[in-house]
Amino acid sequence: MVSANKLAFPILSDPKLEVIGAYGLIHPGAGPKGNAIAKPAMLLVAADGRIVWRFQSPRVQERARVADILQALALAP
Amino acid sequence: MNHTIAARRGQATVASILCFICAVAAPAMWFLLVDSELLRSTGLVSWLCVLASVAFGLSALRRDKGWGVRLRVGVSFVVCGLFGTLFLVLLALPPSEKMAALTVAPDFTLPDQNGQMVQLRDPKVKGPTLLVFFRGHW
Repeated sequence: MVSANKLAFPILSDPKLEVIGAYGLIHPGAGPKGNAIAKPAMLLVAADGRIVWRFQSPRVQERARVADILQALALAP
Repeated sequence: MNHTIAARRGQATVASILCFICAVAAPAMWFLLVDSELLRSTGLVSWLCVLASVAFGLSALRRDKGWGVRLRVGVSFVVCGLFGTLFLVLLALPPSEKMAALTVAPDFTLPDQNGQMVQLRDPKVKGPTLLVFFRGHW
């Protein structure tokens, strides 16, 4: 996916949902085989670890708007 | 007068068939356009199909209240209702209180696409990090 889309950022793998669980984002039964996957969400984490912006999708098909993300990045410390 | 009644029945039949086609098109268009971020999250094209279906259905029922028209329009309205319920209710996600309560991002190290371990709070990274949880295709 990274090379096909020429992405400039890494895509990480969390098959045991350990990190997804640590962030409270497990969505049980939502995967293609009835497996648990992540709820869609985004967080902007400052260098010191503070969460300065976050977005949780209210519906499965929704994502944060690019304009909102860019604004959060502009304001981030 | 018979000619007018027959014409109205004919129009009602056409309208009720178009009503059904638009109703079925609503979920079909959503799946076809799922790769477009705007259309997927708003369901815009699908809602236009629902509106068209309702308009055709009401128009058909005004011209002819026979059982054939009522059946087609009734089934179509059920399909529209199911799509609306799916889109607005069944796909709703209750917010994660745990996520909302976090003030500091829990640190972690996970492998990337090349097997390299990547740490969220890497001391070498000076600026903020955007962490995106995604589900697979979108």
